[in-house]
Amino acid sequence: MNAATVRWILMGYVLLVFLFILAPILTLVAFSFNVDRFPALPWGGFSLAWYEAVFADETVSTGFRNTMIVAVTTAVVATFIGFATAYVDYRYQFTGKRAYLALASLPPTVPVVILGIANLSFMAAIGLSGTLTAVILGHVVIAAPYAMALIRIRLADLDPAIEPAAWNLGATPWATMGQVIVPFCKPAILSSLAITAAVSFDEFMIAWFVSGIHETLPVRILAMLQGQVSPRINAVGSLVFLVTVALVVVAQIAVFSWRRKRPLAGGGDG
Amino acid sequence: MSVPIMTLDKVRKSYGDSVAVHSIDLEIAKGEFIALMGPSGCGKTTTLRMLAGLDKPSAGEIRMWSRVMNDVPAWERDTPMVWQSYALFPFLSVLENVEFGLKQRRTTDAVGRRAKAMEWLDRLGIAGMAGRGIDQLSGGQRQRVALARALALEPEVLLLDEPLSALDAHLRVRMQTELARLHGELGITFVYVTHTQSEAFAMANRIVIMSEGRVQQIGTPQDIYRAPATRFVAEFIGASNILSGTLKESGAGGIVIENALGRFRSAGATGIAVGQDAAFVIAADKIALTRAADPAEPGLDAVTGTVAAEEFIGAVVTIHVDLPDGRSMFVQKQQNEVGRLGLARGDEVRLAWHPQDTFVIPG
Repeated sequence: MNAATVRWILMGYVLLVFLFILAPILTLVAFSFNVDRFPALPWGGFSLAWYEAVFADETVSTGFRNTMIVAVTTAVVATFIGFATAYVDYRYQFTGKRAYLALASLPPTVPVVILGIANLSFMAAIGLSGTLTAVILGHVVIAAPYAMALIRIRLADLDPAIEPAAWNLGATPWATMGQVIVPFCKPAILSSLAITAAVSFDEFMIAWFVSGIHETLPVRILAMLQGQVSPRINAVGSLVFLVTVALVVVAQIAVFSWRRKRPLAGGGDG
Repeated sequence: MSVPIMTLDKVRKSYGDSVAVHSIDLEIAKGEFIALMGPSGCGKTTTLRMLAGLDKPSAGEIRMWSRVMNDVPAWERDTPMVWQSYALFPFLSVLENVEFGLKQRRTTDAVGRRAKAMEWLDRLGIAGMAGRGIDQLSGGQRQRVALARALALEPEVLLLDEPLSALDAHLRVRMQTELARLHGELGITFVYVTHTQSEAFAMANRIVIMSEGRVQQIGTPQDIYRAPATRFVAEFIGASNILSGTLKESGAGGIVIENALGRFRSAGATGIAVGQDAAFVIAADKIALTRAADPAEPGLDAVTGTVAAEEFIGAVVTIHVDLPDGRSMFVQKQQNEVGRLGLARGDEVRLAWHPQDTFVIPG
């Protein structure tokens, strides 16, 4: 088999994998525009009726608003915590650093059901159960490790002499933070904001346990599913998918912007 | 010496149990070009970082003029540094890099800042690069930006941490000339850390040789080259032969060291007692080389041996000679001089030198 044939086979294989992953989602999107009540072939005809129904449904728009509030707040808080955690790792040497990093990366490895139950009992104990604040806190816990990981990778590319160089030129540690560290980490911070927002946006389990009457969109979707099968669910699902993909794409663009611009090695003439 | 611009008074730096710098006493005069030199891990960079306020001395005192600097944070000092890795800000343009320090000072407005930064870029011959990003520059250009960034603050003291080590050979020599020129023009103090002796010898007025956190010798390049104070310095410089033996006489008539090759005279005084181990060093270019059969010149000390190898380094030739007791020595000569002798491997030669060209060091 020559190289070209191997390449074609591999490309075909990758396409199949993508198809396998995306087919259900594409089906869902396709049927969200179908005029028929039940998802069956042949396609009945194009319609925006289900989207109109979704936008008219107050529980959905409330859910969407809640989700946005939670996602934006989670993104900001988790990115801030992730940045602080990563910076501490970058700047300081201390005993127990491994344990510190392990602990900071732990939350996403805990089964979400456990996290959901733990959040429920804890939030109930401190009187926050059934509030959006509780959902935000729960989401920050699972999203912050992603923020830390992204920003930590970025900081690993920062010449250890850069920060002392700024001090040496008269910048106080705070000025250095604002003028050197944060600007350097900007692509990772943007990427982290998008990723943590995406994590929060489609998180279901914690939200389901602690949101109470303040349903987020994923929780609302489940409620809709339990009630009746309606193409409106396809419409909502398509919207959720669109937002999540958009956020992930933003994160990827931010990451690539810095991966491409890595400095060249020194040397050469001048 | 009038009041030194910087003084290190019994400065020590330790990290837990490991001592990076033992106890340094050093006075740096205004306008001096002083080089701290030694192998990696000798404490030279730690010393520089203490001068910059990036590391705090564990004991002792660092003074600038007469002000004690130990507790002054790095950002309140006026000792900018040129880093081995340049440490330029990658997300800022060349101009913004040079403006960075001025911006922190807040002594000028944006217009004045820009003008000053441009002036320094121009002075270093990279004004055309002002708008570029750091990743669009070559190593040599980055080096100039790093210099401009530090010099734009117009400090009294400039610290340089192996600034040329990332450059290739010919560029290094060019920057060396440039640094020496800048030092002459600006009249400020340069403290220069390096492990390359050619850099230190070419540029510095004074050299501090360090090893394992201790100062081995402080002196002019000539002092260090001709009269290394310790075996370490002699070996580190590598320009001298070291012949060890036992100190036999020490008095007004000079010093005599004896070993299996004979008795050798040396000038100068030493603290070494008669009967103790001692060595003397003789610079490779201070040795006369003749065929062993030729008549010996009176008044010189000499050994004979056989030619083991020749090495050409441009116009200078290094000849390695095996001595009868198993030691070897090396001689450096101009190529035309050696050519006249027409030596071949295995030829018997005599190495002779003036006793006043030797220096005694502890064995």
